[in-house]
Amino acid sequence: MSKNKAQPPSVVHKVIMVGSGGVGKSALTLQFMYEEFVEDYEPTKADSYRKKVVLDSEEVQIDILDTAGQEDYAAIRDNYFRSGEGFLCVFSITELDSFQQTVEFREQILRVKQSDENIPFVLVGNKEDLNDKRVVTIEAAEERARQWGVNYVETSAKTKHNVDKSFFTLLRLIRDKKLQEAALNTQTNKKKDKKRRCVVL
Amino acid sequence: MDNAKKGRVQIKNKPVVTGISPVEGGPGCKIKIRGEYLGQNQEDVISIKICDIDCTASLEYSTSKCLVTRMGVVERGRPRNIEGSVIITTQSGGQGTSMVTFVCKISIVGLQTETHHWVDETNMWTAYLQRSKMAADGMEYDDPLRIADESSEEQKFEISTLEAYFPGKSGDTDRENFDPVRYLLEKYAFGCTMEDLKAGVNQLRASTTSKSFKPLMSFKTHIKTLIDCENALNELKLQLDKDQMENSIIKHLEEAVVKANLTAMAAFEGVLCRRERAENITTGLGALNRLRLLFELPKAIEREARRGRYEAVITDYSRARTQLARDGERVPEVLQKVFKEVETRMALFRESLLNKLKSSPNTPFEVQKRYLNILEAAGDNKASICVINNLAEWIMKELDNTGTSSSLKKIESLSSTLVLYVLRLWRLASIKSSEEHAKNLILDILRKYSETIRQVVASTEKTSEGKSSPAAVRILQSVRSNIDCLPKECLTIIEHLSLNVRITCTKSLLENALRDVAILKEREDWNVEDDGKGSHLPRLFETLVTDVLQQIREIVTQEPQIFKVQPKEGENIRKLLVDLSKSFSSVLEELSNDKEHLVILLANCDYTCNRVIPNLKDTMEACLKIECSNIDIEASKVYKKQRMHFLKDYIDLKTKPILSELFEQLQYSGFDSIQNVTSTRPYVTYFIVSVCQILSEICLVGEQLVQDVLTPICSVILGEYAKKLGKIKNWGISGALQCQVDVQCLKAAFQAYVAQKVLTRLNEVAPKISVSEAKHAQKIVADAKSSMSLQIDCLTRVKG
Repeated sequence: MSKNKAQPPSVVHKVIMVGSGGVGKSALTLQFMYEEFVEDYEPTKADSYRKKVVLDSEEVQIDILDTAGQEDYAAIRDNYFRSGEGFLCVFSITELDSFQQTVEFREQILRVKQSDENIPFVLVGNKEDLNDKRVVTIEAAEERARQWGVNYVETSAKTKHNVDKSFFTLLRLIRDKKLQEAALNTQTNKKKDKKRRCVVL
Repeated sequence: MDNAKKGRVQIKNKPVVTGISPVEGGPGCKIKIRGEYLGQNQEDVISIKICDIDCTASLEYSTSKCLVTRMGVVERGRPRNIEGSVIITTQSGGQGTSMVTFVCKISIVGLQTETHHWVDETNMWTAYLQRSKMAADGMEYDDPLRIADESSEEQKFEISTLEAYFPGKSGDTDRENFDPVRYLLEKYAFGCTMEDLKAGVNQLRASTTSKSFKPLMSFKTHIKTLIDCENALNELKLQLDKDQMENSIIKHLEEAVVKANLTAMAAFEGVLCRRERAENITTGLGALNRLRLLFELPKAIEREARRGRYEAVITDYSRARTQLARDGERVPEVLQKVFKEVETRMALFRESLLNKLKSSPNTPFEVQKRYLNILEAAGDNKASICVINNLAEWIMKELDNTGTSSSLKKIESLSSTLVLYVLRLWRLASIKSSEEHAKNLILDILRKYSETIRQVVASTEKTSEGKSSPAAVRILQSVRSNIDCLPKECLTIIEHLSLNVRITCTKSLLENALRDVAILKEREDWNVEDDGKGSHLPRLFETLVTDVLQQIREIVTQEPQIFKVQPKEGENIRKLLVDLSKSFSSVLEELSNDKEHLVILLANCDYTCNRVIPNLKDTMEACLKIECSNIDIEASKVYKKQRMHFLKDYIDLKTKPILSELFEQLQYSGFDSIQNVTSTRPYVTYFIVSVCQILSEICLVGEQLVQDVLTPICSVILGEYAKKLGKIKNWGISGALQCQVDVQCLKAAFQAYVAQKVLTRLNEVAPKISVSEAKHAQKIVADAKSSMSLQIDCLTRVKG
């Protein structure tokens, strides 16, 4: 029942879902967006979602690009990745391959983002509800996250466990990074100004 | 229905699209739209536009949060990629837009491209009809009081306020819980006067009565309209009948469809026909192009050949041949002619090129190779054989063409010609893999070559130009190493030749050496050198022979087994070596005619035998690598025999005068006539002085000869002397004493050179004397010795 009269928040954080096919990227997205869980599996091509959220008492928009996990679409990923500001790298704790492939996804992201190690990035181990079929241990996942210097969250799109946490963690990372960059920009601008003055003098 | 009614009175919630899946696609692409307030039901959604393209037709409503539709048909002339938002209009909420965007991608379809076009007709009509009905229903909402006051729109009670006042009541006239007061408040609360309302009531009453009680009135007032309607209906009936008479509308439609189909076919017919024509024309043009090339080919071949661009000729020719091969039997007669023309031109071209190759064997190899390749490409399979034959012939001629240059130069030029051209022949042959043929030719050439070389070498040796031989051998050696790539049979010929020449050379060198030794005697100067080496002649001989052996060594060094391989030749060489070793003896023999220098000759002979011959033997073994152990023995025998002759001659020469003097003295004054013995008789002195002369002569040449020469001389003289004494019977008064003095003196002088037998004999024949006489004799002998002490000293010291 929100009022349409309110101006749409100007801040948009662009999040990209990456991970192998069938790990639950779309399920996580839909759970986060609409609080629903879709049982049927239908491979995604590329879906786009946008939503207003309150992040630490500040209204922002989250723009989610849900990408295709299948290798068929690997070629067009570069383009999508370029526009992303933060990445949720999802794997299934019941599938070892998907965990291995996070390495490739991370490499591709770093390549597209000019090896910016500080790119907002959260490693997500999905299907936590299927703990009895687990093949990727928490330790292994945490170790990898520690190596990369990123957060690791275990989620379940089915039970909505940690779904919001994973998105909000990423959103905070994006926001902090933007603030940092803004600070840096003003600094450099100041410096430039000073410099110019010096030349005049 | 309850919600819908509520929605109408409540504040409208605009549809909001928050999710779209997927984000891009073409017409017909299934799109899932998520959001809020997307309509209460299928009917509630009036329109949905994506990227400004209407997609309402295929809409499937699932929930108010989720719609599924398909991308609609895109009009012509739109850009290929359109990015746009989703605009949804619902009856309940009005128009809302999306926060996400969609990219509509349209693939361009060409005339020749096969493609599918999406048309979705499901629910199209029903959806459309339902929507029309609904629109009509909506429009029915009316103002029953007929108070048309525009201003009233501006001010209204809030729905919530009304709800509070009239709980459970509705202002909707169609509802069961209709409340007239709420209705009035809702509708006419502002800007309506009581009069207005009263008038409205009257109006409402009037209409009710007119509807129910005065239908006739109504007819009367609307009579014109009714008549118009009837007329129109009549007209419609007439038209319908007419249409039915014209075999119904369906047939008409069918015809239209068939016609449309035909038109479409005709349209495509044209396109297809044009395409076919275009293809035909292209084929025709291609054929013409090919043919043009063919017709121009003969001239082109001639032109390129003249310019020397043979590769171009070959390219042209092979193209023509490919053409011919492809078309095969189907080639028209005109083209056959052209091909014949081409063949004639090519034949001429081949001939000229072949002649070029044949006429100049000096052309660089690469050029020859190129020509050969071209010839082969031009279809001349025998070109290489022909060229090889030609080259072989040419080489043969070159070999025949002996010229007038000196023999060594001739060998050089022959060999360089041979190496250069035989190698080229072989390389040419190996390109075209006709090695077998080439091998036979090369064998012929090599045989000829070795024959020629043999002749040249033989003639060289005859003219005693011996020094050229090692050079010839060296040349042959280099020839052999240069043609190393040739087959073994060819190499064998050269190796054989080389062997032959080596042997010939060796022989001729040795023979020359023999000749050189023979004239050595002219160089004898009789100057004696130190240490009993005699004159320089033996060393000259040694140097000469050693030089020759060194030359032979050079010849032989590449083939150390040469004389073992050829035992017969080895034997000949050995004989020559023996001859050479002995040859110096004949020189010495000739020189010995001059008796004056017998001692020097003796020394030379010794030196040759003891030093030169062993040295030479070692050198021979080292240089020729053959067994020489017999050579020195044989040679030594010769020289030893010769030495004996020389020694005998010399002894004879020296003893004869002494003996004759001795005999003369003894003859004229016998021992019996001696009265008083005061000294030795004169012959003793003469004897000793003569021997001393001989000694000095020998010592000038070499002391090692002293014993060999003096011993026989002294022995012979004393032996003869003893014989003479033995014949004397009458010694007279002091004869015995005198004899004893003479004998003792001689014994003292020559004791070192006389055999014991002779001394004993002398003691026997000497007459016996008394003790007093003996004492006297001793004194006289001592005097004589002291008077001749110099001579006696010489004789004894040399011995010592």
